[in-house]
Parts: sequence; C-alpha cells; structure tokens
Amino acid sequence: MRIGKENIEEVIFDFHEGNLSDEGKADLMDYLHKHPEYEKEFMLWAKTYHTDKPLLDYGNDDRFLKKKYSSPLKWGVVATTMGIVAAVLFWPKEKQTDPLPVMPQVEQERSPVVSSETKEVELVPAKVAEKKIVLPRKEKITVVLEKEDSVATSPVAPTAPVLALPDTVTKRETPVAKEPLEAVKKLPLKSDSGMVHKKPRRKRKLNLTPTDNILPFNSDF
Amino acid sequence: MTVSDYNDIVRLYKNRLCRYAEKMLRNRHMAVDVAQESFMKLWEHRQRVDPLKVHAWLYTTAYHHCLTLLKKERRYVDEKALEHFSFEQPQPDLKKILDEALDLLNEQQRSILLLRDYEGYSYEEIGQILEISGSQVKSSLFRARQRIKEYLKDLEYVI
Repeated sequence: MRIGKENIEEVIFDFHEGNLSDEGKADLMDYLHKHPEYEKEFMLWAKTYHTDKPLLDYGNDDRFLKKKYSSPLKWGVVATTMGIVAAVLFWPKEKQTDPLPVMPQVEQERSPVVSSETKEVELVPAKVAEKKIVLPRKEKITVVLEKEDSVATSPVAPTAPVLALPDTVTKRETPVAKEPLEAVKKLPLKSDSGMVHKKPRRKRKLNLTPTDNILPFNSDF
Repeated sequence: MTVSDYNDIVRLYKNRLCRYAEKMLRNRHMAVDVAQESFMKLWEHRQRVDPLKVHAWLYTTAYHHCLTLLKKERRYVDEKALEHFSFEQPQPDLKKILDEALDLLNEQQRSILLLRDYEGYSYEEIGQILEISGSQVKSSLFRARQRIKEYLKDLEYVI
C-alpha cells in the first residue's frame, strides 16, 4: 500500500474503522515510525470515536408497552358457550306421564275418519232430484241407502241412494208422487256435494269500430 | 406481529432509540417523544414491516422525525457559538467535548456517527436506515470524523 501525505488521513481513518488488512496496518505503522509528526494526527483520529456509550434506562415503560387487549367478541363467544352448557346441564326435566299428549281439535281437523263418527250430517233433498225421480203407483219402494262413515266430511260427493224397484213394474205410466219421500228429502244438495255445474258463458260479440280516442298521441305516428 | 412481539421489540430497542434521538435532538423529553412516536408508527404499520428489519425501520422513522423537529424548531447550533461555549467550560472531559462536537455536524453526519459508534451498524445497514448508499455513508463518516478531529486539535489541552 502506498501511503503518502495526500492519503495519510484516509489510511488512518480506515485503520480505526477496521477496513485495513494486516499488510495495510503494517505499512501504516512503518510510515508513522518514519514520520512521527503524524502520530499526533493518529491519536486525534482515535479520539473521535465515542467509546463511552452508556445505555441509560429512559423509563416510561407504560408509555411504550401495549397492554394485551382481548376483544369483546371473544368474550361474547365464551359467555354464550358457557350459557349453552349451563342450560343443557341444569335445565329442569319434565315428568313424562303420558307418552303423547292428545290434541282432539287438531286431530279432528286432520282426520276425516274420526270426524265422520262424531259429526251429524243432515241430508236435504235437492229440487232437481224431486222433479226427476219417477215412482210407480201403489208399489212398495225400498230405499237402500249406502253410506260410508267417511262420506260425511270427505270432499268426494256422497253416493246417491239406489232405488230398488220390484220386478212386476213394467208399465210406462208412472205418475209423479205428490209428496216427496223421506229418502228423497235426505238427498244431498248440489252445493253440498261440491259438484256445482256452471253454465257456459256465452261469447259476446265485440263490435270494433274505430274511434278518435284510440289514436296515439304522437302526431308523427 | 402480536402484542407480545411488539412489547419485546420495545424492551429491546426503547433505550437505544431514546439515546439516538437524544443525541440528535439534544433534548431528553423530545427524544422520548420521538421514540414513542416511532413505536406507535411501528404498531400501525406492523403488517407491512419486515420483522427482520424492525430495528432499521425504527431508526429510519426516528431519524425522519428528528429531522422534522430540528427543521421545525430551528435548533441548529452555531459553530462559533459552540466554540465560544466550549472554551468557557473549565476542564471539560472528552465525553462532553465529543457530545458538543456532534453539534458541528449536519443531521446526516451526526446520525451516521451515532449509528456507527453507538449501535455498531455497518455502512450498508446505515445506508439502509438513512436511505443512502454504503459508499456515501463511508465518505460522510470520514468527513464527520475529520471535522471532529479538527475540533479536538483546536482544544490542545484535551491532548
């Protein structure tokens, strides 16, 4: 390493910084021995270093440190979980005397079979049946009513009564009975059976004639 | 970074950062404020700060904060006034003289000298903190020491 007057300060600086190799350090020592006027410079460079560096305690730890913060959400989850566990453990158990509580009203609505046994249905003879039924004169008529239990409340129309006529009836002259039979009185109305015949609507003819009212507002149309 | 990690960093670097800021500002209370501000910013930006470079990030933040305060309060010490003040002191020891000599340097040189002498950082680390190159750090450090040396040379009684 060439050391001279022009770079002696840089070499001394590198020496104190620890940037010189062993060979460079030896060259610098030789140069200082030969030029003792630079020994003073060497000592002054050494004094520029802050060797005394005590690390004081500045305190005020409370100002710097952060306290561990737990979120309210976390505590809410914990409290909810504990509440659920406590409710499961300490919930009062009911005595089970009846295995299944009976709710008669609900059962009556949902089961037509049960309701047919309890409900009484009044059969009113329909007007149409009164007119159309033709009965033979002076003959015994046996009326057989077939009625199922579930018919009373079921939406299906009840079966009409079957009239059993005797074999001897062959005449076509069949006078109309003056008074309706009791069996006829018991015939269901059309409205009761749910089979209401609606008259077909007549199609009305529309006379489409142009008028001034239907013209569009846009004059350019 | 958790609260526990943050507190560990505070315990490790609090006094160092306060000392660095105190040497820069020449004011203990302001130094503590600067250090606290740096740690608060560290917590705010904890997601972005590299855990391996926390110390450099802290010193960079403190350095910029010191520069802001120094520019704001115009706390520059006139060189002539300092020399006059130093000669008036009866038998000052070397430590005090060196502390006073820091005021002869500009902010960057002072910061480089403090980071080098007190914290023992390399040129590259100092350059990373101050956002300059390593060669710039070395040349600035050379000029800083040269100036202090000249200041000590004037004080013949020290030697």
